[in-house]
Amino acid sequence: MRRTKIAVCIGLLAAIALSVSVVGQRIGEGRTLVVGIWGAAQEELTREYVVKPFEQATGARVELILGGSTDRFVRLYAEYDNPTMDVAFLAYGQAQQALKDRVVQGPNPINVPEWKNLYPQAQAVGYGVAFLAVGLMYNTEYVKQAPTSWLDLWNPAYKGKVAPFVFPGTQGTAFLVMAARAHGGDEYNIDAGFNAIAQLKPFPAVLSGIPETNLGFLTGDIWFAPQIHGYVYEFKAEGGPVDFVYPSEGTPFAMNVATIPTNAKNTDLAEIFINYFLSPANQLAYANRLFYAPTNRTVQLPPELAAMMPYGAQQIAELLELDWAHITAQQSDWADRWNRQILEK
Amino acid sequence: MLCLLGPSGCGKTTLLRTIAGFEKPTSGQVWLGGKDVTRTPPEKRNTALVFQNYALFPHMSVFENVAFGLKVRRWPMREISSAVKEILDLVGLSGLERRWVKQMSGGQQQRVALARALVIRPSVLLLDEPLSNLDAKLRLEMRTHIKSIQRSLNITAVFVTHDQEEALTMADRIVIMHQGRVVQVGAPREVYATPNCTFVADFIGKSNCLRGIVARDADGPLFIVNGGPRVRLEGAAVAEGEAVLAVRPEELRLDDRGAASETENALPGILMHTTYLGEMAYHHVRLEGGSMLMVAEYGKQVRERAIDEEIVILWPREAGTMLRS
Amino acid sequence: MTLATPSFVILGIGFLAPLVLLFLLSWRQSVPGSGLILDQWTTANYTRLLFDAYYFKIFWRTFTIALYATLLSLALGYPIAMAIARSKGRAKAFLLAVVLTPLLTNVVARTLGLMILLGRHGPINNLLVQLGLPRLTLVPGVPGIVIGLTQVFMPFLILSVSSVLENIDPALVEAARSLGCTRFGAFRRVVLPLSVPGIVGGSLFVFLLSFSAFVTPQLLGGGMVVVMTTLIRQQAMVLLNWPFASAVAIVLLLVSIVLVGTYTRALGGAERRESTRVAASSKISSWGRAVQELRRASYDLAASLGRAWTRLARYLRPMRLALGKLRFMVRAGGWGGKALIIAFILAPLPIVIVSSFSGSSLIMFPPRGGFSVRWYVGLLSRPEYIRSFFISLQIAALSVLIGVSTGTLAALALVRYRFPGREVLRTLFLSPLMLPAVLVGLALLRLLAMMGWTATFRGVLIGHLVLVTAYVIRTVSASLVGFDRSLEEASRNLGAGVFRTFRRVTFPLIKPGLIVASIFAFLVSFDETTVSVFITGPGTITLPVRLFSQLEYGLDPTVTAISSILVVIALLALLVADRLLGLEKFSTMR
Ligand SMILES: Nc1ncnc2c1ncn2[C@@H]1O[C@H](COP(=O)(O)OP(=O)(O)O)[C@@H](O)[C@H]1O
Ligand SMILES: [Mg+2]
Repeated sequence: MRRTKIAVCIGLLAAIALSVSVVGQRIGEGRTLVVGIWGAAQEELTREYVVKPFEQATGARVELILGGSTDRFVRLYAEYDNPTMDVAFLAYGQAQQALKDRVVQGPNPINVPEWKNLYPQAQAVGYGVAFLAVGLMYNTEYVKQAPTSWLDLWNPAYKGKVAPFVFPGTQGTAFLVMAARAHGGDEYNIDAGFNAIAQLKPFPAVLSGIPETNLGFLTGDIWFAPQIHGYVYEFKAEGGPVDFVYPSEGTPFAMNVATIPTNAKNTDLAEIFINYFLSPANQLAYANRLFYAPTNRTVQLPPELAAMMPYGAQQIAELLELDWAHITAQQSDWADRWNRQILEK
Repeated sequence: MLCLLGPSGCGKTTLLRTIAGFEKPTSGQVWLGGKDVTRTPPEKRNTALVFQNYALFPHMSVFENVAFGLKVRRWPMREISSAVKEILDLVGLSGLERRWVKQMSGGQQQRVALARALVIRPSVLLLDEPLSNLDAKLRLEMRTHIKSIQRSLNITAVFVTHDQEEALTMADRIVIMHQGRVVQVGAPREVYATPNCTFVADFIGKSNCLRGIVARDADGPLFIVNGGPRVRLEGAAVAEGEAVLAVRPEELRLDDRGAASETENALPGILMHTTYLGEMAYHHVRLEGGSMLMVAEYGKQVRERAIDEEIVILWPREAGTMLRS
Repeated sequence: MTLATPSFVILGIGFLAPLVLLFLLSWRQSVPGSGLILDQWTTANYTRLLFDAYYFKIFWRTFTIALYATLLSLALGYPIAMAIARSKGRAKAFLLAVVLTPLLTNVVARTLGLMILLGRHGPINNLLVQLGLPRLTLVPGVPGIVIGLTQVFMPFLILSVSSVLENIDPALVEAARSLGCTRFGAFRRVVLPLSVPGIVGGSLFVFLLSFSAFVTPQLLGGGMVVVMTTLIRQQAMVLLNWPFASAVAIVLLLVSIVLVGTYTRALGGAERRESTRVAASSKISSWGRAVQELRRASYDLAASLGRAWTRLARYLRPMRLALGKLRFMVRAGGWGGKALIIAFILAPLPIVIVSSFSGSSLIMFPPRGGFSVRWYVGLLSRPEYIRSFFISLQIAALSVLIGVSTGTLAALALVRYRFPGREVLRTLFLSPLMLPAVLVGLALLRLLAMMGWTATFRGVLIGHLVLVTAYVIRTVSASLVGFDRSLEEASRNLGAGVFRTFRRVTFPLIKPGLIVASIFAFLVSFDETTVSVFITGPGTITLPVRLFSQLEYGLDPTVTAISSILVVIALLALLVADRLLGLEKFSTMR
């Protein structure tokens, strides 16, 4: 009797050990992948469409660190030799700079098969995960005549109701350049932009976050702001009194980018994770929920959804590609000027 | 100079603070200089309180402390200076104006507190056991010092103490307090000679308090001490019945020759022990029936006597105060 | 001194080493448009900063905002501190709870509450409009920032002042009144000067915290009021110009040290008078003399102002009568005034709580989308918030334990013993509060990355301990200053050893200071955001960091829901502490 009991016990233990070792053959068993990404809806989508299949397939655990891209950007530099994050999502300008400074790795199509399906614009900075259009957000409750041009913001009737975004930043930089272009300048001749924005004073606010922007539109303090199309449509879908316009002078192109730090400890897992992120399932979910335009060519969108974002090669090409290399080089001087000319009275 | 005298905890400080205006009486009024000030706030009463722990302002120099009351009264600076100088001279602190109070000795602090109170010429100066924190010698010095200052400035003062000697030497009138009540008011001599209750008799000076019964026989009133001894008295007219007879040790004599005069009682007893104090001595004698009597001897009279020997106490008939028990 | 060693080790790792990194960095050159740093030395960062009036202007603005916040805190906080010092039992426990609640609501949540409250469409402006008055533009703008900083940091002043007020012998007030002072006069001439050490300590905290605040000026300034922290953050985080940001930080640190040193010397007279007196006889530095002159001049100024006022008042007798009436009204309205101040302290709380039940994902007041508990229910499916709560709790508890014990030792060393470098050490311990937190965090991150300690629990703990130690040393020192050493000597004389003396005599007597220090330590750690954003990582993300990271994108009523829960937990904890231990014991002196 006793012997059989012992035998059963040993057998059970062996079975457990065996099962562990079977699972242990998976690549990520016992490892943790640290991913830095935006919170709220993005977190939910990522957990559902990326983390879940990734963890099932690899056996690794994913730890999400939520926050704005600025925190991640500066962290990548500060922790260059010993990064905490394995995957860091950045804004377009940041990703370009980090790639140039070799703080993050370039694309690796061998381990990220989805890379080949990306539009060329998304391939250029490594792993572009969403196309964004920086256009005009306006208040449908107070503005009856929908704007068509950036110049409409300088209409005297709207004085005190136009809120710029903080410079430098995706929306803020785009707005400065578009202000310059609308007033006869461009990236290389930025004076016109600064002078034009200075004319918009007093500002109801200088924006830096999405929640405060939406609140400003809701209370009626803000009628116009430069904004990324996805945020506008998301707020509109929730019942916000806003709409989005592609102005006639052009709508700057922007992108969210997934990056892998140069010295990342789990590059192999990071690449698998990004591959899931670029998968049509996830891209479609992002388009559905946040109206982020897919960077994966194989994603098919229903027409009514496609109308709300830059979809397809042609529309993407129509977006305005700013000279980011030049802008980044000038950024420091421009920030100085922004502080003095725009933020001071 | 009025002294509030009583054991600690009897309410002296409370009464003083009521005069100063820091306590509101639940009943009764406070009159100052012919005016009812019961509802006047402390700062309008023009009293000056010297605290037991002095309550000097630690953030001010001696000069600033003393000048405080005058500054509050908006005196011009020049007059303040001269008044402060004058008062510091009086208390013997001239030249120390710029010192910080924390750097001064207890006696000096005491004098700063006094100067601070005096300089505003209060209508009444209130002192709460001002000498209790000083050493014995300094205390004696300050007694006369305070008294003379008070005389020279002609200020009414209320002085709190639990030390009867202090009260007797300094006071013009003494208020004896017990358990929150005033029990006797009078000049030092009066209070000493004729205490109106056993408490006062016991508290002021030393008293022998004998319990017994007042009786009357053919020769007049008679006090029968519990246990037997009889004392014949003159003058003290008290109703018959239980009573306490108080007598001062210095009113009694020890009889060496065994000769009592007509006007004296002679009480036999046994000398239990003697307390020798230098210029005087106390003899503790047990009367028959167990009551104890204390007898004082002074100066040359002080003599060494055998313990446990029989002895006779001579008690003048006019000595002693009859108190109700 | 050996007593200060543990604190010094913490300071060394958590502050001095990063400071050295920053100092070295500040002489380097960054490459524009890149995060790279050239390997050559330059003075360009300093010349750029020092020879440009713009930076001075920003400094001046930050300085004045912090100054206004400090003065407003003093004006509003002092009466409350007096009320706390005077009250007993339940009333005292209630007042303490009121004062501490704002510090327990998360910085993001309470600032949002204020934004709504003071906003163009907020309750205050709506009331004004109803009364037929014009709207006030408090937010966005400097007034809103000052109000916000005051609301948040005033508790530091209140607790500092009340712990000193409780030490003042009530007989001193009576002495003054018996010498002819009115109630107000006694306050002005006796209580106020004696409470100066508390005012110095408390106002220093408010000033330094206001000076280095980021979230409040950013949100309440509508992104349009540039202060030093905005500038440093922009340089360090967006433009990656670390050398320039470091140079700004180093200069700020030096300026702060000079400012704070002058301030504590000039005002801390009562605290140091004796020592300066002693020093006066031997030798006195020209610096000390200058400070003394300054102090004397300020006293003279105050005196002559007082005299001028007296003269004026004599001529304007009617005015004096009116003033008397005003005083009477102030006294009558005293409790009304205090109630208003308490209302001000608590103001954002109802907004935070109500908006946490909003049906919509925007934080608004009144909330839209009807009543809903979805943000509370949502929390259930987000275990990471609960995990973060416990991490925060753990770090705060450890910060209190370690910070208060080591800090008290260091304070003992600093107050009791004279040794070379004492003043330097004293300043050093306070300086983590003078260096902008953004850069403390960044430099600490660099250091921890080098040590391989990023995102570790001990790394986060060290970061918190450095800040906590500063508060502890300052607060405990203040309570040691008035300490009668003969009590310790008595104890030693009666045969008690060093440790027993500390436990039985010193500790019970400085307990109020230690308790206030512990409260500060806990709250500072529990609410610390700016440094923690950098040094936390997977597994060590604290609650404030989690909430703060929602600010740029994804801020929803979850933040207010968590803050409401925190307040409820805090109140429950206070209630339990009151039931079990009796809260008033924690704050009374005798
Ligand atoms: N008349 C009184 N009625 C009620 N309580 C009194 C009265 N006088 C004194 N007390 C109380 O007795 C206590 C001791 O009084 P205090 O004045 O300090 O005594 P002292 O100064 O004589 O030592 C105090 O608590 C005080 O409140
Ligand atoms: Mg007393």
